[in-house]
Amino acid sequence: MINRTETTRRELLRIGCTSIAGLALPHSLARLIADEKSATKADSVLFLNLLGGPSHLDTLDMKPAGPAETRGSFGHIQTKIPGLIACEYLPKFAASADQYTLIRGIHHSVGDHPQAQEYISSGNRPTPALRYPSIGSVISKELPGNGELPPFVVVPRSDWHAGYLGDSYSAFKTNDYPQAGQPFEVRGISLLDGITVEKFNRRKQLLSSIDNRFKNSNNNIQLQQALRTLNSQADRMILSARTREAFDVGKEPESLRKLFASDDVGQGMLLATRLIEFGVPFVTVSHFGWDTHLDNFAGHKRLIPSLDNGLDAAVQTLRAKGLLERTLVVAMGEFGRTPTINQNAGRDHFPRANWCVMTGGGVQPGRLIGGTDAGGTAPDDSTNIVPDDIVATILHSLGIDHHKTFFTQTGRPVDLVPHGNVMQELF
Amino acid sequence: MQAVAKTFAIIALLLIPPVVQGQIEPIGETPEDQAAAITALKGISSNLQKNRNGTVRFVRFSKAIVADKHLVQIRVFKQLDYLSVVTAKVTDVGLANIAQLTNLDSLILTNTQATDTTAALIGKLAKLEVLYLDNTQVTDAGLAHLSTLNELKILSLSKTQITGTGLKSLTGLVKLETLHLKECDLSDDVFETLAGIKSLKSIYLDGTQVTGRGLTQFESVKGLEQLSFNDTPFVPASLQELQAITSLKHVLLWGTDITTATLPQDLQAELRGKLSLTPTESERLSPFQKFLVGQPLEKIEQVKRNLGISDSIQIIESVAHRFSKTTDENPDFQRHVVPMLGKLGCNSRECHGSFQGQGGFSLSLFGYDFAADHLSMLNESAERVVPESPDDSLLIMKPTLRIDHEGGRRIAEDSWQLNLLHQWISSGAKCNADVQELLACQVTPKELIFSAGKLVQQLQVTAIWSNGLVEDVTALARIETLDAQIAIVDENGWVTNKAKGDTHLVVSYDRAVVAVPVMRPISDKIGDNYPDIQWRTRVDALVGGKLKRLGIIPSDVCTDQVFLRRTMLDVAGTLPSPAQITEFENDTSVTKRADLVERLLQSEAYIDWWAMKLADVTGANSQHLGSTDMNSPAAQQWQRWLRARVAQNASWKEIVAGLVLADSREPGQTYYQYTREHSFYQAPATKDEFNSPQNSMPYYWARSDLNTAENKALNFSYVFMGVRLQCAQCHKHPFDQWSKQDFDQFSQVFSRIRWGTEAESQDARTQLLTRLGVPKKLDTAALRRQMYNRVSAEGLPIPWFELYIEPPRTTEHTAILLGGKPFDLNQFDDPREVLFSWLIDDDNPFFAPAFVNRVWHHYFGVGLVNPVDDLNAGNPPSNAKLMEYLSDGFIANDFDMKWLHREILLSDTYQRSWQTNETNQHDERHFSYSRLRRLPAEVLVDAIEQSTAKSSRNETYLNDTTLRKITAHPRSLSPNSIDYALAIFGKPTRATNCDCERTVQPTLLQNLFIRNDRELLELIERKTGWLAEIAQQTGIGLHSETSAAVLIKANAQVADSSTITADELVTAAYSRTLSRRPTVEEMKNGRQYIANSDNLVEGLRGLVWALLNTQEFLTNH
Repeated sequence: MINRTETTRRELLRIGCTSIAGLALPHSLARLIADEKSATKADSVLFLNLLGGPSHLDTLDMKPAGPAETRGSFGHIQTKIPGLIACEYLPKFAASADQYTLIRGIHHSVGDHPQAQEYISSGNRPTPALRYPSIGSVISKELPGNGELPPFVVVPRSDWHAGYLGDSYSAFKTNDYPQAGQPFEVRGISLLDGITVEKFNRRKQLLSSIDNRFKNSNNNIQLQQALRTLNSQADRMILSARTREAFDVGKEPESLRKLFASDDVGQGMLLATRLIEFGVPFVTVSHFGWDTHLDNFAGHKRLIPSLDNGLDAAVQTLRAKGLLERTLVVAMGEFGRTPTINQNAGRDHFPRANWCVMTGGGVQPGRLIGGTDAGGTAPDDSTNIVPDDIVATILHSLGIDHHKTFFTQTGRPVDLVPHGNVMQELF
Repeated sequence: MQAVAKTFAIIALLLIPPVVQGQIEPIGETPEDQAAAITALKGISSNLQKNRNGTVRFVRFSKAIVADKHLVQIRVFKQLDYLSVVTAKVTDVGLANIAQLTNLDSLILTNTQATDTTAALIGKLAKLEVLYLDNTQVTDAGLAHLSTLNELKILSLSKTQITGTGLKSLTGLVKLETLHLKECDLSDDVFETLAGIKSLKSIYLDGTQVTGRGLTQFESVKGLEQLSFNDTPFVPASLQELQAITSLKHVLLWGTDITTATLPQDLQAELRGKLSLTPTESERLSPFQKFLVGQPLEKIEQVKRNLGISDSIQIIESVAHRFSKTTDENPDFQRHVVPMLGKLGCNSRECHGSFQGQGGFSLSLFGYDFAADHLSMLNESAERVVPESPDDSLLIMKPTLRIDHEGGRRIAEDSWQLNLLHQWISSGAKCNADVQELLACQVTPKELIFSAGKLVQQLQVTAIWSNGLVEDVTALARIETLDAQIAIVDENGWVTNKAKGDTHLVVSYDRAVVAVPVMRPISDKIGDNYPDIQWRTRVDALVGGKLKRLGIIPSDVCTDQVFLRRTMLDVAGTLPSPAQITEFENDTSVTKRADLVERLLQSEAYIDWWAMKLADVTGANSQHLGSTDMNSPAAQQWQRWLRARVAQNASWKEIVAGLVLADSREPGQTYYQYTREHSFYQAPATKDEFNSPQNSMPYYWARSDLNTAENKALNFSYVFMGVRLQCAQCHKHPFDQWSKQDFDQFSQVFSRIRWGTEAESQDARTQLLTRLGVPKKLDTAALRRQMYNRVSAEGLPIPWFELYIEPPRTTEHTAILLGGKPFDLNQFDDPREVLFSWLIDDDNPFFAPAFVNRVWHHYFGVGLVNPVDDLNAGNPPSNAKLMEYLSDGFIANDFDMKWLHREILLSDTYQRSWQTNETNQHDERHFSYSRLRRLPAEVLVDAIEQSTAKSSRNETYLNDTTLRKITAHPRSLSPNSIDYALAIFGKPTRATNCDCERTVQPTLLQNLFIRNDRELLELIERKTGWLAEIAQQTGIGLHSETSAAVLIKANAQVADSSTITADELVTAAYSRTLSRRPTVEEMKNGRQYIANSDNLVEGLRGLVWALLNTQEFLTNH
C-alpha cells in the first residue's frame, strides 16, 4: 500500500521547485507537469447527459435476433469493434468505435427521471433523507480552480445539484446553447448592451463608496466576508477577458467549428470543448428529449444523429487540441427503455439495462464491458455494474477518492460513493 | 372582395359533402375527410385521439353545446373504437351517425336522449364490449336489439325504464360480466333472470326495490364476485342467502338497514370482511371529524418515570476502581463490556462499527445490538474469545498490541480495562438474553460554571437500572464536548475550561443521553457588575437571565426605521414603501410597534408568506404526488388548503390534524360519491369549497417518497417533531436516545396507512376507468392525466385514489410511540388516532418545541436549537428555560401561531439593534443583538422588484400579492421549473426532509445575478418601473444619448419642465431600497455620481444598481 502522507510530501517538494515557473506556464505545459506529479488520469470531464433515457435496444445494445415485439424498426451496422453492432443512425460512432469503450448492462431500480438523474449524477441511490451531491459539485469542492472560471458548468441546464455540499458548489448553468454563427451571451458573465467596462467600473466605485454600513461591525462576520469575497470574484469574472473568451465559441477556428452540427447538442459540445481547454474541470452538456413514450422510433431517429455528430466532433476536437489524453468523455442517460414496445409505438422507462460510452482520460479504447441478456431485458449473468461504479470510476480518473468522508449540513459523516467500485478494467 | 369569396367557397365545401355524398355513396375515410372532420370538431369534442396512421380512434363529447348536427362528422371515423357522447341535447337523429362505426368496442351514450331507435343501430355494432346507456330513453323493446352483442362485457342501463322482463333478452350474452341497473324499477324477481347470465361477475342494483330474497339463485353463477345493493330495502334475513354464493368477494350495503349492530352474530365472522355497511352512530365520524367536533381520540397512556437517587441507596463504585485490583466479579456484557469497548472507540465508524467491519470483525455501530455483538465476538472460528485460555483471545491480544492491530493500542497492560475484559472472558464470556432497562442516568453537577480561578471540574455519571442497581459509570460513559474551544473532557470525566463562553457536554451511556451546560462568563459584567436592565417581556427576562450569567450586555432597542423594515420583511416578506416609512415615523402613538405587528399579521402578504413556509415544511410538491394521478392539481389544492388555514388563523394543531388524520372518503360514503365530490373540488367554479374547515388534506400521506412505513415514520418525526430518525434506521446514534429497535417499532404505527384503492372500491374504480376509456385506450400517464383534468373540470367523477387504513391484522402486531412501551396495534381501527393523540399531548417533548424553534429561527436566523430541525437529547437548546416558556405558552394558547409571532415580535429581544458592543459581538446563540441575515429567496427577489417598481405599484405590495414570488408555488418544484433567480437564491424544492433545503448562504451565481444578469438589469429598465417613471417625468427618456441639454450639475435643477432634483432622487432611492434616509456622506456620493453621469436617468440607473448590490439591501438587520 502506498503511504499517502509521504506521497503528498514528495509532491509538495516538487511543486515547490517548479512553482515560480509554474505560475506563468502555458496551459499545455502546466498539464505536462501535472501529469508527472500525480497519479490521476484526467484533469477534466465532459459528460454528455442523455436526459430522458435513450433506448439501449435501438442504439448500442441492439438485439436483431430478439423477438419481433421488442426488436424495433432500426437497421444495424457493423462497427470498428469486432462483434459490436450499432444502430444505423450512428455511422460516425461505428467508424471510430475502436476509440471508445462501451459499458453495457448498467442496472438499477429507480424508474423516475429526477431520482434516476440524481442516481447517475451522484453514484448514490436517492433517499428522502438526504440529497447527494452530483459529481460536478464534488469536483467544485475538490478542484475549485482560480475563480476566473466556474469549476462546474452545465450547458444549458439540468437537475444536477450540490446536495449536502450546499449551494456554493452548485452548477454554473449557461441556460442556453450557443447558436451557430451568433455571439453567445452567458448569463451574468457577458456585459450587456450599453454597459461598457468603464460604466461598470464607475458603478463599482459608487458601490464601494456606499456599501459600508456594517464595515465596522462584527455582526455575522462570515456573511459579510463571504459577500465581499464573492463580490470581487464576480467582478473578476465579469471583467475578465479570459472568462468571456472561454465562453466565446466564435473564437474557435473555422476548421474545428465546422466539425460541429449547428443543432443545440453540437453547439453545446463545441462550447464544452472550449471550456475544457480553458481549464473548467467538469462540463456537462444536456441532450434533452430521449423520453420517447410516444413513437420511440421517430424520436430516436431524430435524436441519435445529434448524439453521433456531437460526440464525434467533440472527441475529434479534444484530440486535435491535445486535450483528449487528460479529458474523460462520458455519454449516458439515466436509464434504458423497455424492450416491449407499447401501444403508442413508444418505449417506457427501463432502469434494468443502460449503457455508457467513455473515451479519453486514460480509458483504454476499443473495449466492450458488461452486457445484457438475449432480449436486452436485464444484465447478463456475468455483469453487475451499477451507477455507483460509473461515478466512482469518474471520480477516480480525476484523482478523487470516492470513499472520502464528507459531512452533511447536520454534521453527519457520509462517504462520497460508499457502494461504488472503481472499474479498474477501464484503464 | 376576392378573399371573402374564397372563404365562402371553403365553407360551402365543408358543408356540402355530408349531405350530398350521403345520398350518393358512403362517405370515404380519406385523410382529407378525416382532417376536415377533425377541424370541424375543434372546440366541440372534448377529447380526440388518433391511431398511429392518423385515423381517429377515440372521441369524447361532453360539452353542453354538442348537438345532433355535430355528430355528422363522426361518420368518417371508420376506425373509431371508442365513442362517448354524454350530453343532453343529443337525440336519435345525431346518433344515427354511429350506424357505420362497426369498429367500436366502447360506446358511452349516458345522459343522451337515445331511444330504442338508437338501440336498434347499436345492435349491429358487433364488436361492442362496453355499452353505457344510463339515463337514456331505452326500454325493454330496445334491449331486444342488444341480444346479438356477443362480445359485450359491460352493460350499463342505470336510470332507464327497463324492467325485469326486458332483461331476459340478455341471457344469451355469454361474455357479459358487469351489469349496472342502478335506480331501475326492479324487485327480487329479477334475480331469476340475472342468475341465467352465467358469465356475470358484478351486478349493481343500487336504488332498486330488491330486498335480497332469492339471492341463493346466484349460487349457479360461479364467477360472481360483487353485488351492490346500496340504498335498497335489503333485509337482514337475506344475509343468510349471501353465504351460499361462495365466490362473492364484496357486497355493498351502504344506505340499507344492515349495520354492524344489526348483523347477526353468527354471520359476523364469515361475512364481516366482505360487507360494506352503513356506519353506526359510533362509526359515523372519521378521526378527523372527531377532532373537529372535539370528541376524544383513542390514545395510549405513556408510562411516566421521574427517578432520582434517594440518599439511602448504595451506589456501586466505579468499574475503574473495582477492576484495578484482583477481583472475582463477573462483568456484565451490556452494562460494562459494550460501553467500555464503545468508550475505547472499538465500535466507532472508523473501526469495527463500520458496515464492513474491520479485519473481519464487525460490531454494531455505537453498540446497542447486544446479541449481534456477542455473536460476533464469540464466532468460534475467529478465536476472538477463548474462555479456557483468555490470554489467547484476539479480544485481548489485539487491543493490547501483543499482536499486530491496525487500530493501534487501545488498552494498556495492567489496566482495569484489561482486567475487566480478562475477567469477562474467563467467566465464560456471557451475555444476558434480555436487554436490561436503564431507568435513568444522572450527571452531577447538573451544570458546570467556570471562572478564572476554577478551570477544572469533574463530572460524575450514575446509572440507575430497573432492577435496582445504581452504579457509578463515569469511567464507562462517553462524554463529548460540543465545542472543544470552550471545554475539553478526559476519560475520567475531568472537564477543563479552555475559553470564555458556553457550550454543552453530552454524556451518553447505554441508551441515556444527558446534556450538561458548561459556562464561563464572557466579561466581568456579572453579578453586581451587571447593568440594571429592564427586561420588558417574559421572553426578554428569560433571554436576559442567560445573558446576565454570561456577562453579555444586549444591544439597545433599534430605531423605528430599522424596526419597520425588519418586521415587514420578516412577517410579510415585504419592504416598506416610502409612504409607509414616513407614516410610521410620524406616528406618535406609544403602541405603534404593536399596532404595526397587528396590521402585518392581518396582511395578505403574511398569509401568503406563511402559507409558503408551511407548504415547504409539509412538502407540498407535485413531483411527489404522482400517485394521485393528478400531481399538479393536487399540489395546488394542498397549497390553497394551507393558505385558507393561515388566513383563518387555524391553529397549528388543527392544521396538523388536517394532514395527519386526513380522510379521503368519509364513513358511509360510496366510492362513486367520493370521486364525484372530489371532482367537484376540481371544477373551476367550486374549487374553493375544498378549503372549508370541514375538509382535510389527504395528500401528505400520498407523497410518493412516503410510500413505505419507514419513510412515513422518518418524515412524520421530522416534519412534526423536528426529530431525525435516519441514524436510528440502522444503528443507535451515540448522541441520541433512539435505537434501531425503537425505529422499527415506531414505523409499525404507520404500516397500515395506505394510499390507493380500498378493496371494496376496486370494482367501482375499474368501471370508472373503462367508461373513460382508461387505461385500455389512453394508456400513457400523460394522456390519462389530460383526460382526468378535463373530466374532473366538468365536475364528473374520475377514478381518484384514496387514503385508507388497512384493517387490523390477524397476526400479532406490536408497535411503540417513541419513548413508550410496546402496545397492540390490532386493537385500533385507525392507528393514526393514537399517533395524533400522542403527538399533540402536552407531555410530548417535541411537537410544540419543534414549531416554536422553527418560528424562532425564522425571526433570528438562529434557532434555540440548531440545526433548526434536529431536536434531540444531545443537542439541547441554548436557552432551555426560554424554549420551555414558549412551548408551554404555545400549548396553553391552543397552538395559536399568531400568539407565538406576537410573543417574539413584541419583545425587546427581537427589536434589538444590529450594532454590537464589546460584550456581545461574538455572541452567536443568545440573541443579544439583531444578527444580519440574507433575505430568503422569494423575499429578496420580491424586494428587488418592489424597489424598482413604479410608485403606484410600490405602495401596494403588502396587500396585493398578485404575481409576487412569495406566492410562487410552481407547478413542479424541480430546479428547472423554478425561476432562475429563486433557484439560485436557495428556494427549497421540497425534495427531502430537511429545513436545510432553504439556503441563505451567498454564492457566486447570486452575486453574478445581482450585478450583471439580464433579468436584473431589465427589472431596473422595465416600462412599468421607477426608472421609466422618472425618465418620463423628467422628459429625458430611458435611453437618451448624452446631450448637452440634459447634462446636470451637482444638485442642480433638472431640465426646465421638471422640478426633480438629484437630492430628491438619492433620498427616494435609499428609501425604496434600504428603507432609510441617506447619510450626509452617502448623499454627497450619490449626488456626485449623478452629476458625473450622462444625465439624471443614467445617474439614477447606476445608483439603483449600486444600492441593490449593497450588503444592507441583501440582508435583514
